[in-house]
Amino acid sequence: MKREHPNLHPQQLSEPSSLAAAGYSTSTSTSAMAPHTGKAKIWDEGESQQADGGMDELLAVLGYKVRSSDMAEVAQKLEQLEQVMGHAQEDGLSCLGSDSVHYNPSDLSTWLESMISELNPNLNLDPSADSLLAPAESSTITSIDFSDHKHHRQPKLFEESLSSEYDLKVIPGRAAFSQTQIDSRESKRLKTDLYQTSSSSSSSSATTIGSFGVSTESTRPVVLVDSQENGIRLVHLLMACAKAVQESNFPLGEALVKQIGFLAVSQAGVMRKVATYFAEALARRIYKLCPQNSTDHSLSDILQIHFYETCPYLKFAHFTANQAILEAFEGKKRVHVIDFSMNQGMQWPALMQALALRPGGPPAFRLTGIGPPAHDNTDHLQEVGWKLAQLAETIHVEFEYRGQLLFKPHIKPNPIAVLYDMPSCSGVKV
Amino acid sequence: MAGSNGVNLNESKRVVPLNTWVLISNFKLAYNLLRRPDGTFNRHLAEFLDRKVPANANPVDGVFSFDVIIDRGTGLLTRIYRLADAQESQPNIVDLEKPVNSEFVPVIIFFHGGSFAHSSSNSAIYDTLCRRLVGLCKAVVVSVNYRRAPENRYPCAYDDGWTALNWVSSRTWLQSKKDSKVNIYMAGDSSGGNIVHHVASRAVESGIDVLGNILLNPMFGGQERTESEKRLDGKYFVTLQDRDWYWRAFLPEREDRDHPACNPFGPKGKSLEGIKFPKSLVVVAGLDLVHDWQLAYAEGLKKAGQEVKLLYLEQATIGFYLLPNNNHFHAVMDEISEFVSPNC
Repeated sequence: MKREHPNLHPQQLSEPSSLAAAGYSTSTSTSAMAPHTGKAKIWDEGESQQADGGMDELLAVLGYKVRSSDMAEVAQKLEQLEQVMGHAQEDGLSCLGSDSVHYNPSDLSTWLESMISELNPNLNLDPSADSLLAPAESSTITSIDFSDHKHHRQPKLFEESLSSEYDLKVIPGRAAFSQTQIDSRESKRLKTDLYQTSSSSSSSSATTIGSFGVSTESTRPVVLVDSQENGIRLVHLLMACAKAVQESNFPLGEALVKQIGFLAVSQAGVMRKVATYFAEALARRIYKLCPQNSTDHSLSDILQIHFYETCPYLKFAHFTANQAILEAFEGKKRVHVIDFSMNQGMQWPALMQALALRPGGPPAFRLTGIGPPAHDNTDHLQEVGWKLAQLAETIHVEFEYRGQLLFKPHIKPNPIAVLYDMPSCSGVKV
Repeated sequence: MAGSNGVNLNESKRVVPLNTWVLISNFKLAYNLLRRPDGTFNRHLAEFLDRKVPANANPVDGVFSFDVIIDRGTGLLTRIYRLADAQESQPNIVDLEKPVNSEFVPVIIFFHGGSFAHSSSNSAIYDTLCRRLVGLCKAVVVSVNYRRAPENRYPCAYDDGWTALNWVSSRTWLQSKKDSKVNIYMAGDSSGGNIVHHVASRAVESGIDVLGNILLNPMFGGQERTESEKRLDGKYFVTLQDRDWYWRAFLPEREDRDHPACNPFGPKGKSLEGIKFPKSLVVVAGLDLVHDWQLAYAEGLKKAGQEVKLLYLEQATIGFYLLPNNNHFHAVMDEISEFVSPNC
């Protein structure tokens, strides 16, 4: 029994990733369902809705790309996943939600497969199916002789994947070779509109890179570990350890940090380095190993300069402060800034340049730098002053500098900029 | 549910078309991932998995849509769907809120489902449904993007519904030509149906005229376990356990399911006798495990002397109205369009 409903044509979605671009055939809904037959007649989708590419039209309108010919298979995967999830505990399920990386959810078939492989990596699927799953062996520990050239080949793969747009991806073993895998990643779009932004990065804590833990000696048998799982565990471990340290729960932190070391070496490349450094930093906190005050400050000075240049936070704070100073000094002919925490004076070159470019010409700039004495008895405050003076000369800003040693500063107030304008004298705390 | 999985899956497969089965099973699966045992909800993942569509001011099949923020304080958004004029191919921005051009235009305020926690106005399933309603009923549909649980518990969703009702009733451009008033109906499925009831209750006291309520598989419940709940638990995509979770997420903490939000005709409910409550169309799916509560709701309306039409679809499951591939769908759509027509 068919019913014609001419005004119920499938809609065209206006989103670019929609397959509506291919154009639907204007078939109306056809598969009427006889509600009372218990038979599987419904499964006969012979006259069912098909568009170009064989996609089920009705599902396509709702945002799901499933080929009509694949419908039964997708249904089977759903059942399979249900079975597997039924065995997992309730806890496990919601953890799966946050641990996994989710591919394009529109592509139901691939999404379901990725879920199945997450939950049950040992599952031996029909090899004739277009499987993107890691083979069963990869989740067990085996000893394999690993020749050198393979070892070198591995990092290259990771480079490829790291360089692509989305960093937060799981590479389930063999699937890294698969072209379709890469396509489905690329087709994942994060749409922003007035509604909540869908964000996959916030849901996946799995910053993992599938890799093989390889020992450096190629002659010895090598332990092959599926570090995809380890990567996830590593991230969780780092977070848990950091939390323990924050809560001053040092016994727990200590237990955890030891684990981190093991897991970190199972990773490769970036992840390994980052995890190792984090582990070291956490260990220092836990064992209260403060770096000794070395006599050579030049290294830490250089590091500080590099940090300042690389990390935007301090720069931005200085930028805003400098803006405030500039506004306060509009029209004034003399500026005096007192910096109570003069280190390398990183804030001031930018201000001086801004003053130099001021319409009407720069004011006279006077800087008093206050700071603790250096440990190596050098007059670092003066040195900073000299450098700033050199800069001032090149940009033609009248510059005066005074360094003032202050022993044991209890407080670190922000720099004070002082206005000089003929008779009155006002201070502006910035 | 774990034990009898094999049997259950086969049963549900027998009563819906395969693509419907795939759709609803997929939702079930995804939703399982989002609900955490401690009552929190993985909102980021939910938003990522939800298939969304933007509003489209270009008419598609004669219907165009646009989003409007109707309350800046809460950020309440509605998506408005209208019929395009025959001539115009692309309404420009001034045409969006052009006065409706007909003697009688039903304005349907729509509340999407999702058990108070899932979905949005821009979810593809609901965008599609609203578009269908416009075409069928020659109506303007205002889909309310109400605040969801567990982040926003009772009564946020009702407050948002109330805000929307006030907003709609004060739009001059929605007034039908015949009597210069806005002919308001309210419709919703699942939690949306529940919201319709409660907003209508609030409207009664305030003098805003609602011409009719349409409740599709409305979400009601109670402390008691009804026969349908026991019999159908886990059999057709839905379990009692998940129903309980959603109520715990929506109701105020420490309240049980006899709270009037959940059980309006229960021990803590308020009587509707002698009140000018809108006529109701209540659609109940026989394979929805809470159908006993839905039937009780219709019964409660009747007992209070209110006009109610019950459409009981014995072999329908949840979500049958999402895809136009079954007879229940067509039957219900016909009923709805008749319900909002002026002579009814």
